[in-house]
Amino acid sequence: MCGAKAGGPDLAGVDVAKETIIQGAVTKGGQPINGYVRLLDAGGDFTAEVPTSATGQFRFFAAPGNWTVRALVPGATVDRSVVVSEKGTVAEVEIAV
Amino acid sequence: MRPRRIATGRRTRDPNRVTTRWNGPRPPRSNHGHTHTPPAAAPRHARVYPETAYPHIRGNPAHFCTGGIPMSRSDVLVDADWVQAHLDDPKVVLVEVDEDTSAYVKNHIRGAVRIDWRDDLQDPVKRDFVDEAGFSALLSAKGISNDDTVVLYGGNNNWFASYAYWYFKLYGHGDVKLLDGGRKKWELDSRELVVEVPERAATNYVAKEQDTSIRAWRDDVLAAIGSLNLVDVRSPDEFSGKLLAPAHLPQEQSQKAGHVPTAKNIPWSKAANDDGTFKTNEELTALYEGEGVDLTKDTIAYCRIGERSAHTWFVLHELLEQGNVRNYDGSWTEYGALVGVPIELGDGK
Repeated sequence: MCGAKAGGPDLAGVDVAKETIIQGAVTKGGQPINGYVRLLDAGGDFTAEVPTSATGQFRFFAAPGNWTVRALVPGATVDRSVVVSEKGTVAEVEIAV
Repeated sequence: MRPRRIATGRRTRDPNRVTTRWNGPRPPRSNHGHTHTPPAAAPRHARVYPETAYPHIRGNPAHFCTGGIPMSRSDVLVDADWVQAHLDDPKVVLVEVDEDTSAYVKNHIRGAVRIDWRDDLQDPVKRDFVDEAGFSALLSAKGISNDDTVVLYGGNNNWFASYAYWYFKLYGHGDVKLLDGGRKKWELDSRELVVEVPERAATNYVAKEQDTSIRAWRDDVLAAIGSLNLVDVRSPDEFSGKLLAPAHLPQEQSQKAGHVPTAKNIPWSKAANDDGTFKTNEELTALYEGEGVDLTKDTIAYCRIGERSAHTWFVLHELLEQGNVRNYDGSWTEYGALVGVPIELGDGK
């Protein structure tokens, strides 16, 4: 969407210090794409899933550890590994499908 | 003729079952004094549907098409092709139920009405469901009749649609089905979605008394520790106590972390494929038996607020046709806030 800033959704109103955030955007050919993003834990088990916003963005409230972020869009599935070291941090993940 | 289920002999209801009761407070329930009342209706596989009860089925070959879903599941589950073929069927009502209730406003399957799981299905003051009269008024206002085929679907892999399904069963709706894969599968198939909200004339819906044989309360859960199957369907990290809510929600929550002692952690997601469709009955049976669930015993499923466990209730009670499966809608937000009850941490293995 024109004018949208890069990265995950705006953190205004989120108590970042109390959360462990994994967020980002899904794009195709540089443009945001609508689909779903799921968060898998260190054992590969489903932890959460969200639809992307109109600007392709997503956000999870996780915990420190190893995670996989999986983008599901029509015709494609793309995984990204994420390591979050401590609570209060924001991990930004950009996924091009 | 409507396709009928074949009796599998797996549904067992033990009339001699003894449950020990917790002496804590118990909310009033309509069949007070009975801890285990079989539903008034015969088990589904024994029911006979007279053709006159479903006149819209006669003479319409489309009703015999169940798409890619085996006939034995078609009473409770339909696929996207079936829905596509019934978009203009006046006796089929599509209902979207989402956690994010604004999703419907953005777009929805043509002809679908919305039920808001919070505003429409919960008591506005106390923590409980809308009562029988409230459910009757809701469905009347939505233009749904007692003899309509209701097809539920929604986001989050049908979590809240499953919750609504269980709710429709609780209030005795005759013919209710889930769209396999829900909204996500429909979107990933790039099928049509519209913004236009349909107008349906109000009806005079009459709900039945709650079928409490499919609902569990907190004292049922306490009594089940160490004796019945307790299935915690949350993610492994919520079960172990690492997370307090599914990770799309903020983690600062008031209840304690962990799980009910002796519960088995079988996440709802293991019953579904990535696209949100349910796995086959063979895969599902292998899943629960492989995790040590004795399917001959009574089972209580729970999660955080009872929506994901409604998904597992659907799998066990509706797809696998197990008897005595109850959903604990109080779930972890209630149990994890109770004073003095036992809680276990870790992976339970």
